[in-house]
Amino acid sequence: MNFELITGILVAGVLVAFILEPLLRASKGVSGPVEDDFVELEESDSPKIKALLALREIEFDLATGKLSDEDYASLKGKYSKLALQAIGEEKSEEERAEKAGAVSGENSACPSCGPRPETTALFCSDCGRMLTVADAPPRCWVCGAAVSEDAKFCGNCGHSVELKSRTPQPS
Amino acid sequence: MTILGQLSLGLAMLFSLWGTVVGGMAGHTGRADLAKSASRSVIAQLAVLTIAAIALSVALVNRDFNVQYVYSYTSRDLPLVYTLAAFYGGQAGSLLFWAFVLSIFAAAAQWLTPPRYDRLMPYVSATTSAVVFFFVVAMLFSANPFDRLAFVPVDGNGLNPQLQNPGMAIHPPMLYLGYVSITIPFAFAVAALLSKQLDATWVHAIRKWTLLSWVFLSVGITLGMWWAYVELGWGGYWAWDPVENASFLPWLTMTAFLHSVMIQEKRGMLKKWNVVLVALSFLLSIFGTFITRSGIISSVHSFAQSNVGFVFLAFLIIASAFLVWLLWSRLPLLEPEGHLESMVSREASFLFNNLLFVGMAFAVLWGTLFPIISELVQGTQITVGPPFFNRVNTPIGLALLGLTGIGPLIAWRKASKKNLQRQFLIPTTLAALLGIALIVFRFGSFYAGVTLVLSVFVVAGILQEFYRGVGARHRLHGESYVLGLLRLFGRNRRRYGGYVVHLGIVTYFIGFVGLAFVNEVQTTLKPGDTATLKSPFGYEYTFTHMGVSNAKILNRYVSAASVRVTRDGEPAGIITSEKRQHFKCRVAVSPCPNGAEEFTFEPSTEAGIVGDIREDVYVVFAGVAEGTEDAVYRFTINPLVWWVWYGCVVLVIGGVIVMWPGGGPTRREGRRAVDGYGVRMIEEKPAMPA
Repeated sequence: MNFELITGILVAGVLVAFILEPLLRASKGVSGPVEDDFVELEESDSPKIKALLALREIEFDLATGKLSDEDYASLKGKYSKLALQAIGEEKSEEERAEKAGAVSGENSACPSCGPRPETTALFCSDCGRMLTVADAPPRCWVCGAAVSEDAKFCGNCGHSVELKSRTPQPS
Repeated sequence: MTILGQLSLGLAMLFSLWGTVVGGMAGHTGRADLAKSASRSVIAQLAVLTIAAIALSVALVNRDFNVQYVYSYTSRDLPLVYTLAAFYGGQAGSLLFWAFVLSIFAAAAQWLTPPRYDRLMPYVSATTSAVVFFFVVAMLFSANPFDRLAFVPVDGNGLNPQLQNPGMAIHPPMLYLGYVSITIPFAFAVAALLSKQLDATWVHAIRKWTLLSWVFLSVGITLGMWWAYVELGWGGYWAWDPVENASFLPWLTMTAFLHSVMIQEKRGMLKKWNVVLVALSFLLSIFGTFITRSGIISSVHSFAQSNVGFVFLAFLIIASAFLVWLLWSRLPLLEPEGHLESMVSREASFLFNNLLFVGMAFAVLWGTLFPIISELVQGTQITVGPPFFNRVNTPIGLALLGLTGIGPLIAWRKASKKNLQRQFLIPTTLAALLGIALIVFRFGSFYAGVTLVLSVFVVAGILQEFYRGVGARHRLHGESYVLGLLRLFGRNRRRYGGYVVHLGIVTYFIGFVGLAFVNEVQTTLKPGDTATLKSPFGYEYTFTHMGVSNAKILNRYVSAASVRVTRDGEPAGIITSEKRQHFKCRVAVSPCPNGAEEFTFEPSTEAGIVGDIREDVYVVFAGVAEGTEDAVYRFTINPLVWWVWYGCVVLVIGGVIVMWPGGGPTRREGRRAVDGYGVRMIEEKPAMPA
């Protein structure tokens, strides 16, 4: 009985500490959206990818005989228009970001790896971190998964993500 | 270990309350530390509920009869496997099992959900924690598995004899896995509503969870059918029993959701409908547990009846009210992004199938609740029997089977008359030919005939899909036919895995055709007497009664009657059916107060079944004339029953194909392909919109 009570109290203590630890230790920052670049295509919200996937499906439906030539032409016209519109918007967005970066020079330093030689860089060429978004998370340089600021290893592929390991070693 | 178990339940209540409150606050404020704490509380719930589950298992295995639950559901002579199965054989244990399984799924959702859904996760933690909280409170205040008796009984009551069957050892956990795992899609739906992030994000997050729940539910329901078939001894596998219906209801709404969710993903439509379907599925899974646990409708399944039913009812009412408010307040955010391009499209066929699924669910729910409603209104309980369910659901089921064939033949977005003719030509021709043949040869049953015709239509359509898909890959990519087939699955697992699931459903339906041709005879035979029975496949079976033997085996007294069977004069083996009386108390183990042996007086039947893919010979030994070896038998020929079990196997294979990770092009390949396509289109320079 005593053994059970002591075990129970120990378990309770450990788990309460486990639950409360984030509140006691971490800063009370607001969690922003994690810009995960590596999304399954079908899960993408990008209008460009959505339209292009629709086009791919329409092509396949034509090839399997599910769509007539007329339906194919009308659907292809519609979704090509959407895709081009999305591509155009994406491009102008990129240009705007590039210009803004070039003018302000804000992209010239990576929070993890320090100053970058390319002032217009969108991503850090060492760690892959997005430079145009202020609070973009660092990334694993091997698999590209987002990792936390103080991570030593990537949670996705297990590779070391410490700063020194990101530096290419002489062969 | 029960003290540790009690402590664990207390901790689970605190942690789940913490998870609910802090998760809600984290979602509302967006604070990362609160979100992390809520997420950790979900993992802590898993830890303590695992300890509670181990504690109960240890008490069961040690046969600690001082624990009321162990006393009520096990006995000294109960085989170990059923002693462990007693974990979910009674009220309190099944509540613990529910909470424990939910905590596994909830922790898995925290671990496995990619960071891009982080915004939803605090509310997901809050929702799963709230459900765990409810179950733990129900246990602590209504049915505690760790309650002790004031004395130590010599032996336990034993497990209900009908539950002492291998099918029963795996059917409930499988069904529970289905019921419980619905909580995860539900939690994401609630998270999306609370966070007002009502685009397709939450739908993407739950894609695999939904399918997993659906597969577990399907397997659980089929295992239940198998158990009823081999154990209850009435000769069939589905009787529209309230508990069977309760498991079927969330299956119907989940199946509808699996289809309608594709419309939201592809077209941004049916947002309200999808949220409603997920919420309904969850509420129906709780309703299923409520029906089983409350015993409100008399049923062979209502093994455990207590006031816990009222706790469930309260939860159902509170959860429903909360969901209605939540949905109502978010309605403006659930407006569709697109519209149907044509009523002749796959989207439209999915809409019809959704209406039929929900219509069927309503009919089943109405029939299930009718005894309660009639009792409330008229004061007498009027039971709605299988004829009502069959009359209503057979046409709806056949319409759904038809749509299973029609949907895959129509393209997404739109279809023209000429193409529909081309797509439907072969499947319709083959189905029509079979229909004509059935009429010419005077096939015995209208509905069975329609089922076969529609089955041929569906299978022909699916095979045509594979044939044309492989042909298209061969032409477009120069792949061999074998590689083309593999890539067809590999590149679009959802579509082609889904077709395999459809094949599984057709296999079930072919099994159901057999129900129209069941042939049976009940007779009393002296040793050496014979009975004959014709099968729908034209065989003549002869049964010769060999005798009755009695023996004490394990925890029961067994009367076994055997018949020698011949098929068209050829020996087909010996079939033995048993009548079992389980001991309540036994001299060798735990004698009754008067020192004699007593039975539970709950005889169970072990049907003797021998069969193949065509038909089962099903023998039930109904009893023996006092003091003689004259046996009362029921001989049944059940055609095509194996198809039902095989249907489940095919369905699971299809489900695994759809769920297999990495379907579609790899990220890099896909990106390259899409970028390449984009570049090519820019080079083509079609007129840009003004």
